[in-house]
Amino acid sequence: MTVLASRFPADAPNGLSGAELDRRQPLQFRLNGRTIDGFAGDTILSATLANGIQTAGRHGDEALALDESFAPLVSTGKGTALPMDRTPALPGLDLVTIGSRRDPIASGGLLGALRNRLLGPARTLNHRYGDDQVGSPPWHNAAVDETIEVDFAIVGGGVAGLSAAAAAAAAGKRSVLIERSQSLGGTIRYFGAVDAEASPDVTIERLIAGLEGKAPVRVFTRAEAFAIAGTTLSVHQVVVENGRPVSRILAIVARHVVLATGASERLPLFPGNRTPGIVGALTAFLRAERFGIWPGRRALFTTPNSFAYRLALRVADAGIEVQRIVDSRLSTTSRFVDFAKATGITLASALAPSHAEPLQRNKPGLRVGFAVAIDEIAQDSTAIETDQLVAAGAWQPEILLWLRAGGGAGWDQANGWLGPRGTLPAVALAGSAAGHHTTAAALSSGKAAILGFLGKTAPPVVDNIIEEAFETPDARNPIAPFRTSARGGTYLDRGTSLITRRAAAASKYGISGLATRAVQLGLGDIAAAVDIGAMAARDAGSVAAERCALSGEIRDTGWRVATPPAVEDEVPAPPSYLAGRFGDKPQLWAITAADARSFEAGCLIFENSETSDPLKAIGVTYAPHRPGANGGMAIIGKVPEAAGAELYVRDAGTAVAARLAEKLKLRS
Amino acid sequence: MPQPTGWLADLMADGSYDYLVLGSTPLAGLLAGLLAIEHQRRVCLVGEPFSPFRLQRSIDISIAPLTRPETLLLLKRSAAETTRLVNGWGKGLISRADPLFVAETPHSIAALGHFRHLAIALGYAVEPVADRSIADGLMLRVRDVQLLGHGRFEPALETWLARHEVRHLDRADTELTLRKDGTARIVSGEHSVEAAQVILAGDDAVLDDLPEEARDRSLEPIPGAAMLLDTSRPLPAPYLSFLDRGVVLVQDGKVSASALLSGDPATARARLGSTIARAGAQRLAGETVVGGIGTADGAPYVGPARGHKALVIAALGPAAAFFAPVLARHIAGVAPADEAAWVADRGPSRGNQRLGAADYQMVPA
Repeated sequence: MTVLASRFPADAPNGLSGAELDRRQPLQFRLNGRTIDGFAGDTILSATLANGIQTAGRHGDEALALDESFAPLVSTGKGTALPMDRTPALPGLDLVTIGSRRDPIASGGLLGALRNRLLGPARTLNHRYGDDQVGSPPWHNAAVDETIEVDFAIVGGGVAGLSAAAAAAAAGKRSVLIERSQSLGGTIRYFGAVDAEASPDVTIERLIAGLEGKAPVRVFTRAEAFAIAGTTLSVHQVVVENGRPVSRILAIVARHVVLATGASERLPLFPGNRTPGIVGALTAFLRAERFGIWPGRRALFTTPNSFAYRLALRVADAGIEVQRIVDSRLSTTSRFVDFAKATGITLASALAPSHAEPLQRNKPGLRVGFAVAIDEIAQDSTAIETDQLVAAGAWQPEILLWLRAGGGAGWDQANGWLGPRGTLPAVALAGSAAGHHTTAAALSSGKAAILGFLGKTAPPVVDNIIEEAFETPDARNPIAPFRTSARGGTYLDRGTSLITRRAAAASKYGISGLATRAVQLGLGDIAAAVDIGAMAARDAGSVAAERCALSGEIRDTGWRVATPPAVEDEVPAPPSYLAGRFGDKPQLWAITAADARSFEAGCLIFENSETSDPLKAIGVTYAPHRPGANGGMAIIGKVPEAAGAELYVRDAGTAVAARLAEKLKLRS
Repeated sequence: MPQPTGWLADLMADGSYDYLVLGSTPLAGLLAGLLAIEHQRRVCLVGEPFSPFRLQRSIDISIAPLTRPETLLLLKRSAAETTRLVNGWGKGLISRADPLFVAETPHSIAALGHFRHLAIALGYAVEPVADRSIADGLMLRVRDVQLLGHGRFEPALETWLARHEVRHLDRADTELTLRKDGTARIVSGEHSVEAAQVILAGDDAVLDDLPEEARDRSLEPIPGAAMLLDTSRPLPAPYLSFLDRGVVLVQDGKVSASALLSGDPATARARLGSTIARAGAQRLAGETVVGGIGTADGAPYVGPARGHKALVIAALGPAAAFFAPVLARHIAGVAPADEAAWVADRGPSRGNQRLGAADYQMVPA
């Protein structure tokens, strides 16, 4: 597959040609020894995907799709680890992916050349994934390169974040805007405009213009806020220095933080749901919109909501054969459904994917089965072969930073997601991270967050969802009927936890080991676990706080057990745990051993050598003797006689003859 | 967990529960089950249901570095009973382990040394370990003790309780009125029932359900944390207890470990980091707050609440679950003399009652 076979042409309609690409500037770089073709504007990930590499590696027998949520780090060979999706593709780079790889030489050298000639270029990065967690990125513990103090730090460059940033700029406040991707605007173009709303492009343009207010907003793209302590954000950014991508760590010290981190699209649950060739609808759109990527020439769509119809219509218009749009809802009313019908696209309802499998190992294409999705009924329909399955899912607000800031979370039954709970004094949520559904609410909530911190009154955030009569509400995340015979793993989420439905379900019965497996859970894992009944909805917020909220490592920071001050008393007091142990009036004695040994603290003392029952002990050694003397100091209850009396000390089970040497007195 | 629908009507026909056992730890579950099954009492257990995704809040092992021979003796006997019981439910719920105890200050070295001699006298296989890569000080390995398998034990406990129709209610869905006379009203949904005696079984129950003013003066809350770690290499022992650092670590899998920390939360991560320094950095996969209860004299507490007749069982330490058979006999009124005397010595702090019970307490300064 060539670089162009996975991309729309430059003149593709509907904004699918790759807005971030400069097709006049082709480039090449090397990845694991293989030459990757791309364009200026590509990321390492987008160029890799465009070159037909759709597989990150294998987890047991499962091939796992290379994805924005699941891609290995790459190294430039100088100890730098960079994320594939935030690192720009630059000519001449020679990169290797980091992690355990099965055959790292298969794509390079003579063997690689032979392999490529016989089998075609590898479509996988060939990583091996076990049940152990994929490690945290090294920048989580890296030193800070720059500290920036601002009034407002806004995380997320979608419409809610832009709206907040524009409001901060208008108020003349020093602000930063932190955005993961290379460009601003977020996902609004996927959802489009409703009724009299301005088009997404107009809205974005207006908001970006607003960043140049009284106090221009400093914008950081390719930047990810990965930690928050109070109102200080730790941010990792990829920047280009001397033609090479490098990591930068920023500490953003803000008076207030607005988290406009958006929502992610969940993974529908069916066996084989991470098979290469399956992509989320929002991800598919962003890949096409930003980088013109669309593998293959035919696609199947499956969705619990109406937005995927819009994408299907746009790609159909751009020449992709949309084989079918399969909706998990029973009867759908939507203007997009009407458009799709009018376009002649085959539609199906009340069906959800039942399984997916590759047509051939290491070859593009997959076979997707569907099953009726009404209550408990499960009936399979004919499987369909396709180049790409665009599998839309339900939404999950991205509240990881909110949790890391100490915010609460709980299961939102009405929306079927893990939503934020409570408030924080200096951190606010906006947009879909706050649980809002509409562009209007995103815009107003971003502005309201800033005005609220400034002590000003903001208009109420109105989140008007289109009435059910005109737009059928979103269904819950599609879940295939559980079948023990199913081939292919059903993963709960797209992230690195790699928890399967089987393991999650079995954990209730104590047989999966999930309770003690040190994997950091994703929000999608938790939502899916609730959906399949493996986790009680009431536990979702607590689990998120315990197992999603943190980042970082435990390392030795030099803490050591404090050495207690030297005891100056010649006769130390016996420890408090011996209080009352040997009667009301125990005596302290120095004892000497017949064989001149020193007794360690804690040896039991008996009247005779036969007894070893600790309940019959008459005393215990509790401190070493004075320097130069053998034996030890003892606390004794029933003293046989005066000094010189014989007794027996059990030293690790052996009875050792000893004598009372000297009665001791505490100084006080 | 059995649902309350319909059960209260049946119960009301012949009165009420004998005991309301409050708590979410293995101790509470075992105690409720033993009272109901072995001692034929009507018992309602109220606590948080087990969630396999939540972090481990207790690490239950059948030995602890105790310095009272009567406590160790009792624990040995009670642990054997507990082990037999749990082994009867199925395989892998409880496992043999050789825990390692580490003492690093003169005070804790003396205490651990005393424990060593007591344990040897009572038939435990205890051996010193000289491995400076773990720590300096005194290290003891105790052979052949039992460790409850977190994640496997709890579902089996639920099954055992359900099989014997022991009611287990979710604390979040249950409204409780604890009265000073030790009785309680349990309201679940539209149903309400009485319990003749409240038992706060474990530190969590005391912290969550007993008003502060009703805590005996000898009881002190201890802050703590639970953590889940992704370990790059196995721990030097399946169970490690650092007495002076307030850190207990248990290996949960090839690359996973759970940690329980007691003491100052501000130093928790640093203290944990110091214990695994030689193993390199460990990735944190989960963290939560877990409070505990200690006593001023280090001894367990079994006795009434202050100005209150609810029975409080607290500060039993890491071996708490293994005391369940002894405690059940005491509550059921069938304890032999030595067990009755042991409990009597661990009651409220009035007068000199606890003088003969003081024990070593593992809490960092």
